[in-house]
Amino acid sequence: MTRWRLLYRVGWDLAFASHLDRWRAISRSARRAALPLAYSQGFHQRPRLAMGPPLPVGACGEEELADLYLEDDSQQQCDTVHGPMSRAPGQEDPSLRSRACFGPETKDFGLNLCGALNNAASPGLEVRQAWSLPLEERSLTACTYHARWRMDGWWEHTAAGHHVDAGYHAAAGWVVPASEVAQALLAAPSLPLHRITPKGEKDLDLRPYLLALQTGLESIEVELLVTPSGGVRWEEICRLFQERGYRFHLCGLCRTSLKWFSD
Amino acid sequence: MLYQVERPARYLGGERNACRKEDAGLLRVALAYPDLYEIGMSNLGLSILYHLINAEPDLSCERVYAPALDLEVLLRRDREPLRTLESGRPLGQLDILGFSLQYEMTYPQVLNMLDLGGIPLRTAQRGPADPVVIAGGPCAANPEPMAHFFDAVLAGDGEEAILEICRLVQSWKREERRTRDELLLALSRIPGLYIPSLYRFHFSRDGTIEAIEPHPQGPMGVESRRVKDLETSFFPTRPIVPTLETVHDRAQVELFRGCLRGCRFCQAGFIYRPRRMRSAGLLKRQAEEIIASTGWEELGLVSLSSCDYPHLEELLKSLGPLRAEQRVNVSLPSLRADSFSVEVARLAQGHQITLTFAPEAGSDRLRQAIGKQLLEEEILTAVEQAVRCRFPRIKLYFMIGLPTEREEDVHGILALVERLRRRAKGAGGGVKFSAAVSAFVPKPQTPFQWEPMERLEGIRAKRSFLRDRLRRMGTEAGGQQEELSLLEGVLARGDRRVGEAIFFAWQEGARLDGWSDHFSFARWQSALTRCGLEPSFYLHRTRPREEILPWSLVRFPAGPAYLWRERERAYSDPQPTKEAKE
Ligand code: SF4
Repeated sequence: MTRWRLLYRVGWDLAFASHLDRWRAISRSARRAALPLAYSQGFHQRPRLAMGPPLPVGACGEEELADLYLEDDSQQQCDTVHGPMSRAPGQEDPSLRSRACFGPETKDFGLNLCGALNNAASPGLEVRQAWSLPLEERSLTACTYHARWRMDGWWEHTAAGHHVDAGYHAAAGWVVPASEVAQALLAAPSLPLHRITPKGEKDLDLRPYLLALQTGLESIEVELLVTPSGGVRWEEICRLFQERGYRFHLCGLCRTSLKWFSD
Repeated sequence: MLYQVERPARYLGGERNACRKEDAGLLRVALAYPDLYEIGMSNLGLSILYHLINAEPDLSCERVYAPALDLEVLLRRDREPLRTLESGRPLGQLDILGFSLQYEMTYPQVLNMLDLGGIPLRTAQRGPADPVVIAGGPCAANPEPMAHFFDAVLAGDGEEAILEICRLVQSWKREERRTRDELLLALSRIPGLYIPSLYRFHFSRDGTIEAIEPHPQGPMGVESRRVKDLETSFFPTRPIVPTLETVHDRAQVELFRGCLRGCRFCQAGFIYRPRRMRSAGLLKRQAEEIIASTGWEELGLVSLSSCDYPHLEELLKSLGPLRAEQRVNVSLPSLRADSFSVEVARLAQGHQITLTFAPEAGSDRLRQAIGKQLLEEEILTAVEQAVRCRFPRIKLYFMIGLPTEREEDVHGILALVERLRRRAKGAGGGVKFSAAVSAFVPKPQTPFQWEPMERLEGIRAKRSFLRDRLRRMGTEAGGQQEELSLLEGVLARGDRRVGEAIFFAWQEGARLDGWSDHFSFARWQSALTRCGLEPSFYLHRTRPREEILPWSLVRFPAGPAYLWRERERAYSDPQPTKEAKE
């Protein structure tokens, strides 16, 4: 069995799907591509596909991660299905939409894997890179991540009771809305939050998860820590602003980058 | 808006294999399903018609499903119309809007979708610029309750008729001085297409139909449509793969249409006659193409009674490579206990956890009377085999209030379940039984269309007795709520006056009423009272043979004379006929 890490994009067509729906979209793309997938054992055999940290419903993602497992003889089987792998450098199939891949010995296969997956991909899914990694390497769920988010929308100054008009602000040369709140949040030693979920309630401190925060006229950019035990939700960042007089009305959400740390 | 609703992917489209045509000059058709995306996307008929229309270069077909309540609230608040999934076009801007009517309880949702889409609700209110609103599906067996709202209703198979309708509307649109009345009259010449507005119904004092007056230039009723040869008829091998999980998230091939069994309560069995089959070779090819184009992990071999497919074992064997190499699970959704074999169970075990059998009644005598040719011993053997094949759950369907039912038949349900449990235990056990007990609802175009339905008190007493006893036996017991069954009875055999009650119920908030948590019986009672209608008129009287039935203008292969003979046999000659005559 070989393990392949996929770096993929989640576009608008898959943005409103759930984490499980996206798992299905990738696994079905791989099945359509006739890849020699490795399957789990047991009554319900499923393709061995492990997903990175869940992307919430409504979010696009630029650098999402998943690990796909293929059978040992995958290279040979893929040759049969998708044409010969060994191409001279610079002779890559232009129909393949992948941008690059890593790992010198697997370069061509990684490239072909991207192409095969993209040709069969569900709308909204684009595999950008694929590279092999040792089976024993830490699983995606056990990694720590730095996730950068961009939220687009508009501000409402709840304390003043009016909408913050971005155009007016810019013309007046005013400071970016809520920027003082962003600075105060970063400067705070702790950010207590009471989280209510269908599973229960708990108190937690958001501050350790907040790595960077910036507001724009019509946006929030934030970098968050994601640990194997969880992280902060985008709604909770908005809640911090709302509690401080600024309501952010979300129109678009994107996880722009996801950096992982194995240790 | 999408951030404020549950499961927004329902409303977005953009799935694999969905068609999006943007050229100008196309005839714009949308197929509508008056229930949520998850339910509607599993409908095979709609999938066939969607791809069939889109295969024509000058036609475009889109989809629209019922919005959940959360989206409806936002659409109404923001005065936004309901739109199609593919192009986001408001429904009012389409040329044809075709509803699939699978179940009577979806009628209010049809009105809701028309209203949200900006289309006048009644056919009489629509002008030349409005879409032609048509319907098809099993409920076309009695189109009358929705007569005021549909321009046309197609009885029978849609594959051939839908293109004829599209072509006719297309040429009508090209004409300069066109009127809607002319269009409706022209549509009435398409075989199988019933145009309700071309008929005037006269009611007598006792509420029955006195006479039906057709339009001077229109036909007197319609004969249902039938695809003669399924082998050569269109079947999509690149169906849409839904983004979110649907109730039947799987590939489907249709083994055959129709059913030879002739159970006297079963509408589908009568309206889809005669049985027409596909060959095992064709089904295998279709299955392979569908799996290759979709990546689905499960393949459903669908039909009204899949075990009756004569080449089933050959087909299952030929699907071996698909199952072994591509790990495709094969499922057989409609099983009959008398043709269920160990081989079939083993071959089809795949993904299925729950095996469903429908003994329908508690005694051999009653089963024979209703035409269910199934003996108790056959059910016991089937369950025993299922237990040996390690199916962990078995679900049993029963009906109460069936014609000729006696007290011992009701008790017989308990006795049968007890015997099944004992037989299962003897075969190794480890199986969980559940039973769904629902009231029998007489349906149009069946031998029981003249029968009364049992009264609420009777149904309630029997159901609660059975559910209580079954639970005490350790068997989960469910089934359709009594009031829901009664209402289904009114809507199934209603006439066009019932349409007003549907309208009032919708106005008062009736939406996804087939879902029992959305259902309010009081709302429907007040709607019926407002129209001066008495539910018992539709439900509890035996209709005489000579009474003009609201659906008498829509004729299916099994005509009233045959149906009446079958009804008589239920009372006089309960001896089962092995295969019903075509
Ligand atoms: S077996 Fe009986 S109940 Fe089932 S589809 Fe055929 S006629 Fe209907």
